[in-house]
Amino acid sequence: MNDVGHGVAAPPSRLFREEAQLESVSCPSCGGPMTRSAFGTVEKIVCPYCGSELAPSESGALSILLEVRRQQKYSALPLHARGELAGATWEVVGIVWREVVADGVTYPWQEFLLFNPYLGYHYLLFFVYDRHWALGSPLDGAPEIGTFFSRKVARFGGKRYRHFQSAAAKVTYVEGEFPWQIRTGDMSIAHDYVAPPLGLSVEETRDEDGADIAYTRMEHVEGETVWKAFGLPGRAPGRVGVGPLLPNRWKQGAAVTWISLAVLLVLWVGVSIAYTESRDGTTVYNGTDAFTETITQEVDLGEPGGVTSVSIEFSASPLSNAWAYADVLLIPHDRDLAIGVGIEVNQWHGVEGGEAWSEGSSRDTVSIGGIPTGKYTLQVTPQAGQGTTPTVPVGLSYTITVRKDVVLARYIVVPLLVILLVPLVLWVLGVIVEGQRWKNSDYAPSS
Amino acid sequence: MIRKRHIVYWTLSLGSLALLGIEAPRGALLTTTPERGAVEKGGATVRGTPVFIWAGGGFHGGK
Repeated sequence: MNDVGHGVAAPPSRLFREEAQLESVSCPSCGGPMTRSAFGTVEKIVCPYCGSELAPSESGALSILLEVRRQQKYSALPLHARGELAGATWEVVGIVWREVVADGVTYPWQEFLLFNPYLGYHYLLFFVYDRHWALGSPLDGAPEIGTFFSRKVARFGGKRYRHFQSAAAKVTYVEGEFPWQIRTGDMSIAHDYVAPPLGLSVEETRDEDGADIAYTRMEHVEGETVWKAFGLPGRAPGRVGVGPLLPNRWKQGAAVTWISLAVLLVLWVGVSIAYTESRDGTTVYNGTDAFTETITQEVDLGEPGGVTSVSIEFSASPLSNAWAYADVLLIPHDRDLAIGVGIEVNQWHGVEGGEAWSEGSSRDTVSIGGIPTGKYTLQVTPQAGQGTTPTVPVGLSYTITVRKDVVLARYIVVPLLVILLVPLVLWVLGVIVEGQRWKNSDYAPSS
Repeated sequence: MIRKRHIVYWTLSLGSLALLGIEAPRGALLTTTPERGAVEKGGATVRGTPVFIWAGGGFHGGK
């Protein structure tokens, strides 16, 4: 160790020894070549070739604890693979395959024990059933287990983790070096708590000596990150579904979305008030007449030079199984092009199968915009008919009301829909993703 | 953290607010498009005022 003068020992420039200098030994059971990496902390070594359980002695020799004859299995990462992950160099010194069975379905995963001489042990988990990855590290303390709205939670470091599932996990395959006693067939109860992309795992192992509880902090890792870190060929296998720790992409930046919504709603209220205040909706014509003759009337849509919106309301009364139509013309006094709209109202009723029905309306309003202001001649040519005939019903009269500078509600509603729609869609998508996540938990709707 | 979706959201929302603040008083975009054309005098009402008809023939409204 070099002393740099501040009481802090500088680490050597090389974290790991050269590959050639790793301690090579042979399995005393099958003779297979083995490479030792973690040294002093190792309690058990499982031969990757035959599965025999070995114990290191002070002299460095290996003694057989349990002789096994099983074939080596290929894991997602090979033993002794090295990679840069979470800002440090790690070596895979042990591999454990575990699985839980829920509702008759087996969910296997592979745990890779990572070792760094200065950082100790981490765990890289590959969930075989959905091809998600997570990086685990020993928790610096114990979480507080409690409830939150009747849901079991774990609190640690100011963060709340929701209980996801508890299951009995079984070790199905082991190879490499471990700082604890491990054997195929070992059982433990794993309680998983999640706050994506983080999670806490509380693992209980019971034996005749009592219970051992291990706390692990988990974090989602992308498969491509692992592939790149360990220099694996090809691409990482694509993940399936929503894992317990997969970040919900639709919830990312949610705070910005909700703050934006609040600000935009305030803006919308302000602009809406300014718009409605600027519209007086002045009635420039209101008249009632019989369906006998075309009427003409001069109307004033404001000082020339502007543009406004106009509403034309047409109603006919009494309208019973009849229709009425108004051909409305606005002829400008200072231009050539006239503006024309047609408005139809109708009302039908009857009895069918013993049930009374009615449809239609005796009143309708048409709004037109982009109308140049100025003086106009309003001309209304009415038509009406009884049933399918053009006979004007007796006593039928109509009313025309023309207003300028009207408030068009659609201009107020459209921005509101846009402002609300985006957060709503993001929220719904987030809920859908959470539903997919939690359907595999102890809290699935069918559980 | 600001994401691309927030930029899109702000753009759409501010665009729709601009529609409300600037275009709504004109009201040309979200309203019925009226028929436009030249008219000519085609007679008089019983009250003596002239009646206008669309110039150039063709169908212009009517039930």
